[in-house]
Amino acid sequence: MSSNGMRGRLLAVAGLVCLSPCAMAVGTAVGTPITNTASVTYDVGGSTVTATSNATSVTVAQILNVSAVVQTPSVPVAPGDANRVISYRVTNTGNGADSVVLTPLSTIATGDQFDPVLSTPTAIYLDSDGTPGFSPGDTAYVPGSPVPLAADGSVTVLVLNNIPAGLNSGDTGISQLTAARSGGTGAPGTVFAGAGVGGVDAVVGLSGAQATRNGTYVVSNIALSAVKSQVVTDPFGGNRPVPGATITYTIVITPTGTGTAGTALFSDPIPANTTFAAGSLRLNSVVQTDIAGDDAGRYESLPTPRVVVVLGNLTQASGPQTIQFSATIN
Amino acid sequence: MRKHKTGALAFAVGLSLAAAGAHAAQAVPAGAPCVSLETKALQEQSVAGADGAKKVSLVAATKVVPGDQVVWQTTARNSCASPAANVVINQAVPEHMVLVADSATGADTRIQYSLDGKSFASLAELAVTEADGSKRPARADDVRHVRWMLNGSIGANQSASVRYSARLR
Repeated sequence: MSSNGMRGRLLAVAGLVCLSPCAMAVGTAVGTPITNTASVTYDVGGSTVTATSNATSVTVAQILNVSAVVQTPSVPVAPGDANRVISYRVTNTGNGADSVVLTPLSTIATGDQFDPVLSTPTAIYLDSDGTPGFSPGDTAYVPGSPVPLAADGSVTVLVLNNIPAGLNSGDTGISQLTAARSGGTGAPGTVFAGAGVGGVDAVVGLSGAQATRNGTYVVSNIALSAVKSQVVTDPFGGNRPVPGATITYTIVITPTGTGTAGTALFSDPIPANTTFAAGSLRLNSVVQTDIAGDDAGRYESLPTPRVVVVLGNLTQASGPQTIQFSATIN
Repeated sequence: MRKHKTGALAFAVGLSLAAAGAHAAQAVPAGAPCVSLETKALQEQSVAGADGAKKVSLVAATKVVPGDQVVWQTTARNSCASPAANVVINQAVPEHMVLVADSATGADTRIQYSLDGKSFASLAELAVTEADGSKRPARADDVRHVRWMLNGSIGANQSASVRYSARLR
């Protein structure tokens, strides 16, 4: 199999890991009444008396804070690539419901060698379908529209760029995302009178009610070539592909060139009229369980049976990666 | 002398707790009680004066957001002709707030803290029992009640103020 044929099966994977501390509970909710009453005991005229004060109440105002984390800070790309994704997590770290407007910027003047080109017609998608990374079920973001976020609520934002042709290995291109409170931003302490949930005052927090983060595309001229071979073992000790015979597939993926193939994912459908042999998946001779999450490999029966191996970041120094699995002829 | 006074005070408080309202109702003359309390929520506000120097003043707390400090100030006013003695002012730290360390003040008072509103002591004498049964010294953010015991009495038509700061979670 040519390296070109392999390419379609190597997918970039966006992580769901919080790269900086995940947003925690952001404090007492807006509108919470804080009530305080004092009591006093004293002696007067030979007797002891107890009295209480008025109940003083303060209603918690709304603090406006937005945070953003770039989940894929460095995305390996090839010149001419289309719709390459940088993933961000935008969180309302204030204490009340709010909304943000998302603005991408890829024409950063300094610090990189090329300008990525924001994809058209849609450069931003909200990861709404629960599948990591960009997928057809994600929601196209209408530029300038507010994205509502509950207190502590977050949204995964996917910014898509096209990569110009004619770049050199190692060139970098920065793409930036700004998430700003739709109702206005300002220096910390700025008050938006009556603009909070329930009409309380809203106060800009340390974030300035906005967050800007950069992701970087790194041109990588690394190529992954894959060679697939198969060995048939029939139940009679021969090599004939008869029902009941086992086909053992071996795929060797070799990275060559400079740079990094980022978070590479290998997947291979189980051929028609065969059944995956449970427990047969191996990565570099190490047995991989069929279930997801416990190691690099897994078997998926739906929607179509396939094996998947997360190869991670591959460089030429990683050397050839050998994947092996077996299927039985029905 | 000071020691003796503490003992008398403890007795007075105990009495009031045990006798509750009935005792007070008999002893106090008809009409308003002698000592009334007013509690205010205040915030520090930094204002640049005419000479450009920043001046911090306390204003009514209106925009309190998580992380902010509120100064809870209680003023006890004696409206009777006789002095009020053995005055003890007790304030709970409100829900959602934590006491700011060393923030409780009051002129000529002794200040004690409580984790449960029942037993009061200096912060150094309080201990918190952890889930595993071990004990550790209490911190300011464990405190749920503050009380001020006035060394002197509040004279006729006089008042005394105490305060502490708490931070909104």
